[in-house]
Amino acid sequence: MKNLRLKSARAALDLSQDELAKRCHVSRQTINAIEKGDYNPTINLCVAICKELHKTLDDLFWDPEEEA
Amino acid sequence: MDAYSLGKMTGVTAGLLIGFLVVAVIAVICNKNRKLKTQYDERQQIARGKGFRFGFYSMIAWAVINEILAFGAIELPIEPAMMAFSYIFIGVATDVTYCIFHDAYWGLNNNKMRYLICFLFVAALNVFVVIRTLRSGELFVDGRLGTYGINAFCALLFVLIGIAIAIQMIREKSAGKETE
Repeated sequence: MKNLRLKSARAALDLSQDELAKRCHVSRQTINAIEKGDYNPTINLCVAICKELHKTLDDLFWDPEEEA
Repeated sequence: MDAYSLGKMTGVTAGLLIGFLVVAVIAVICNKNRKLKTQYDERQQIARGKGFRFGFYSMIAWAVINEILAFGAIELPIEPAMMAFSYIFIGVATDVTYCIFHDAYWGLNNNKMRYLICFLFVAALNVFVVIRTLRSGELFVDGRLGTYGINAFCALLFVLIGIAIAIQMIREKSAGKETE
């Protein structure tokens, strides 16, 4: 499933995938894979992304629809 | 063991050791942080693990094929000493192409351009040796791939890597237009 919240949070800060990747010490393709829903990141990477985008884990990685 | 075989064995061993040393020097030069070790992120490490697994399976498959051919008394035109390199080639080629197609070949600290220049140089060097030995008749000894087969396998591997990188670059370019 696509992570559109991550994509929009990144876009809101006017960051490219490459810039976010460099800040999180991962490859651009990894950020792309997370946004496309092709890769489930570890909690460490989730936290790193959240810190860079000034968001919480719930904001970016919790799906309220799945909770029900 | 005669003097010729001993000399040949020593030469190949020395060549391999020098090869390893050159690879280490190239890695240090081509890495942005001037370190020997290439760094990969978590997704790349998982993909590389799968690449190694497929590389191992392909080596096993090649061994089984050779075993079946041996039972059927079918001999491949490759010297026994070069047969070992065919296993290495199959394993490495599978691993590398898998990694390239899953964006796990280039590490975070790699300078792609410097690596590509080195690859081009190594490929050209090996292709040159293959053409030269093919012309002089040294590549095949008694109709079988001889010692210079190492260069043939190296050339083939680097050409394959080049093709895989080019395909992946084209795929990324077209996919990048949709994602960014």
